[in-house]
Amino acid sequence: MPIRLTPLVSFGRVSLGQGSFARVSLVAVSLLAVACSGKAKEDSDDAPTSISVVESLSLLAGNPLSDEERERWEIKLREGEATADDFVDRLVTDKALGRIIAPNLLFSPYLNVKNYYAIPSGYTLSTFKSPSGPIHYLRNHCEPDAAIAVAPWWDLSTTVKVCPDSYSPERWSLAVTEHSYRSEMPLSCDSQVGSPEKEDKALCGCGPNLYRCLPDFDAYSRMQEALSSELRDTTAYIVNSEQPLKELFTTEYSMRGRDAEALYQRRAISATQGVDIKARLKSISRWPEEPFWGRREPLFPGQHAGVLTGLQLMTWAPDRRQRQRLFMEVMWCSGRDSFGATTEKIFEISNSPNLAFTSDSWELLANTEVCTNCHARLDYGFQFFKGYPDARAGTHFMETEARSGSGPLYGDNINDLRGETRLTPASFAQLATEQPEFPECIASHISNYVLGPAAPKAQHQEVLNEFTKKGIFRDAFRLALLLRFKNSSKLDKPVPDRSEVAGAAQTGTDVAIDTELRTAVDEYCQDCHDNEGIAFGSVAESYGKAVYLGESTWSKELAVRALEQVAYLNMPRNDELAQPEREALVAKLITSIWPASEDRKRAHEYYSDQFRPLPSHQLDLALAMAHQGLSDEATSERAWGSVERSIYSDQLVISPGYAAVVALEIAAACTEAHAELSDQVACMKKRLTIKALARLSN
Amino acid sequence: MSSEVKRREFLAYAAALAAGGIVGCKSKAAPPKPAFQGVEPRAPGGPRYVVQMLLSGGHDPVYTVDPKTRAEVEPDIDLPTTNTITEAAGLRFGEHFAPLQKHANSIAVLNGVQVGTANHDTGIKQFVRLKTRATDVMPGALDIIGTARDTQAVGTMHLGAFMRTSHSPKFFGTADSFYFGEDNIFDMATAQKDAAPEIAELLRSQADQVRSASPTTQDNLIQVANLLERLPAAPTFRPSSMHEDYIAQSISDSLDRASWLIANDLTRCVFVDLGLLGWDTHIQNFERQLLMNSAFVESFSRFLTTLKNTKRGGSSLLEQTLVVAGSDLGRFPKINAMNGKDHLPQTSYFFAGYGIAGGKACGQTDRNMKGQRMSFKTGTTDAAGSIPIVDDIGTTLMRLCKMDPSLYGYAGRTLECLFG
Repeated sequence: MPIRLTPLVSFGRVSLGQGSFARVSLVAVSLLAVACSGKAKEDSDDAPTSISVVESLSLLAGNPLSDEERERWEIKLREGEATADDFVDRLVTDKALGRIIAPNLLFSPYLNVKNYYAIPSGYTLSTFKSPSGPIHYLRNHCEPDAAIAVAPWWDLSTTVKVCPDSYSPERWSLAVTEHSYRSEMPLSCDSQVGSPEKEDKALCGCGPNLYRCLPDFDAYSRMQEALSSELRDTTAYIVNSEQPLKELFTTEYSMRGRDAEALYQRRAISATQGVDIKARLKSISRWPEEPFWGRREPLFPGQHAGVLTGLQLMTWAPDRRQRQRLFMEVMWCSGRDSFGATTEKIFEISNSPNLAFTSDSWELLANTEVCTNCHARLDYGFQFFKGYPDARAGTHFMETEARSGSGPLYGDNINDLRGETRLTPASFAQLATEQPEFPECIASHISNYVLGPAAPKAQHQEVLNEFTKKGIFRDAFRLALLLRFKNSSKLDKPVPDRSEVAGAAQTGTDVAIDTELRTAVDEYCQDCHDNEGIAFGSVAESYGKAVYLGESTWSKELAVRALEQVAYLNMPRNDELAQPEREALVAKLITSIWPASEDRKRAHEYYSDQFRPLPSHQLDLALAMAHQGLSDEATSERAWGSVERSIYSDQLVISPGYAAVVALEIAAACTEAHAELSDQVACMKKRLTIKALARLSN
Repeated sequence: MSSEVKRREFLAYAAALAAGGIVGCKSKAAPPKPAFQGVEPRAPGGPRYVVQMLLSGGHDPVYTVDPKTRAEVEPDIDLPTTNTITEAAGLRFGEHFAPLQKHANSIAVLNGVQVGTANHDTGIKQFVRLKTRATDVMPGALDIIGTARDTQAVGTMHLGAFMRTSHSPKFFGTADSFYFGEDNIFDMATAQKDAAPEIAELLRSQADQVRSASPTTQDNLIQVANLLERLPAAPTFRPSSMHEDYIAQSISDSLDRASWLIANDLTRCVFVDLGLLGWDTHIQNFERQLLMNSAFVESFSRFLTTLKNTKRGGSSLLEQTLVVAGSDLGRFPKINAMNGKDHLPQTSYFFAGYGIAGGKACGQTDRNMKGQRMSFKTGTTDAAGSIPIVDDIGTTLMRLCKMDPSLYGYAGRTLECLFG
């Protein structure tokens, strides 16, 4: 069945943030499902053959409608009994927006990948049997008579036996000399370094009441789940209660259940070295089992900064610089790229350029040309969080390590000072969320996810404007959905005819720069690639340097390099080149470089289409859709080892890996739900459709 | 990871393998369709298979493929205490790579490669694309090569992905089970083998829907259909090694899986992500490099032997397979306060198989372990030459695969010195 655009219904009134447009024709999103047949009711011939904008938007909002509700909305909208605003309001007021869509949109790489350092797995107890009952141990068995009775934190009303070297109630830290991790930082027992993981001798044990340890691997898994749940549930709370999103990064509160609270108390016990340990442990049992919006006790003023100092993000990355890069990525969408380092430069900077493990070489990095583009922002940035150690060396806040006074926050480099404030996480988060990068980052996630990057720039700007007003996630998402209505008639982007792009036929290896190309290069590139640029010899020789682009002919290598940098958005820097102009420039360069049509076709596949498949739904949403209507809880029971889970959902595409996971989940859901082959097949037919995979059609 | 957790995860893994999967299918389906179906494949040139191996974190050249005697370097350059250098077939192996001497005739080395970054994220992103200034959405080098395939079910399979920067628009594979989850497409496809024909047919029908709107989506869906159809006919994958250590086991499994994929003609290319950044040895460089290198060498040697001993169409699979191995970045040559080595934007690569001059060492480093300008034709130091960069490796790979590098953004130079 070919792709087609099918008008279904029309709306009475659609109100948008920037005005309204009357009677917008509601068309089907062009992606189609196959006709279905089979015995199962759900798979009757009535199964939809196209996906309506009603369905498309409901999926975007994480709230797939039942067939009945979808039909109800389509009728209401067609009959003028409801408006697009009504429908979108219905979608964005559903809890799914905060619970499913927002966390994955904002935090996918850190939400869905296990945190290795927060809970050292080496502190998971094993048990052996003895005549006097089970005995817990960390490394090796001990003589049963030597085992010590301890009231464990997970049940203070009882006692368990533990081997002496697994107990060590007086031990809180390690001397640098007794551990291979020869850092100048304090090494804490509650860390990976302090755990038995890397050492074959007993250094630390579980501590008083075995507070550093977990009774078994099930508890370890449960605690792991608590880490990501706090991030997910806190995001859901802020989004669904329509608080400004900056609260997510600044609040002292979080939404957490008892397991997460136990981890906070564990850190407080480490920080205070056991002061009030009984009261702290007892308080855990009083905390609600289910997620609860509660304050996190600060041991130091300004210690907490929303989810940044939450359980998952604070210890997700091992060292402070990586952690800070994570923070800037989730708050500012600032790139993780680090280009331009050379062996000479590294030798110049230091004889041993440690990554802030052991020295203050960070100041040198932050002030060095090239390096400053990242390190000014990151290295001055992590001074605000100095009280939180390298996650390998400690998992709790250390007041003695925290810096006093105030410090600067930089943007693009050391010359881009954004302000000075107290050197605490809270002050940092306050200042960072006041910078323009914060709303730009959040709005770009929303508009790229709902509208797609190819949507008109003005629409992206509308979403940004809406978010900037009050900083409310839901407001911006709502507007994006309404704009998606407006766009739904334009989703079938025609395949461009690239044969018509004019260009001089090339005969040699050099590429002639004709007037049209010269004009474009002068307009977009000349700021940097002027007379002061170096002559291009090779990619290697020009690496990290501006190349002179004023020649009337370029070598093919230079032209190819320029083409790729433009096509993949690396150039022009400080990007002001709109997508249509960029596409035109790419097409022009391709025509100028390759005379043969077959080569041009191949070049367009790589430079223009970029092997890019259709955008996909969030993976977890697609997995849930596989089970919709088949079981009470529409969720997957499988723990998919899928790297797609770590991709921001506005960047997710139908890669083969994504398609395979969804297809196999659908197969599993259908074979689990139906005994008869014919029912299984019908069930799969209904679910394994492009609509189950694709978020946008272009 | 504690030994207990490792052991439990390992036992769970072994149990899942023994059970042949996790979810059973409740009824029988139609027999699988044997024929290969898919988009019209482009005629592949060059090697029938390509394998790219990432030793993630940064292997240390002085223990592996660029060993030095004390007389060859400055006094503050860190060298192994024992520093045994093994020479074989014109190559020098550091003490951790000495067991590879038996494969020296098949291996070529390129030392002193500039990667232009001291950051893992960027380094891995570049390694996948084999070019500098790579972006997240750029296709990987193997994605490009995988567009040309013969009877293989898919273009490229990724194994053991750990960093999201290795993800690309045509990503197809598995991720590390500890960090991402234990269920993977191979086990699930086995569990759902009865449903495979129907799933494949549905995927093809959906692929047809998007033929003109998105040829890449079409190709991606067809690749999945091909694989699901072909997997049930392949012999069961059996890991050959059982390690206590989680990372060693994952290296072994990934390389065994790579040779299994090739032996069963399931994919043209394999990207193997090894070690979970375990070669990033800021602490205890010697001990941890030893751990990683030992695990790698054992599995890599078995991988090469398997391919060498498996003949098809008159030649060994190794002769039909191009292997490219390296790291995202390198190690600073001097030891730090933690007996570790920090980052350096320079590393070594090594190659084997199709089109490679076995026993050839290209590129040299100086007394400070800094890469030297070299002749790309001979591989020897040449003041008039250039220092090799990642883009040169990508360009060379494309040339070996009979593809025009410029059509895919490669503007480097060809490392002719590697050609056999």
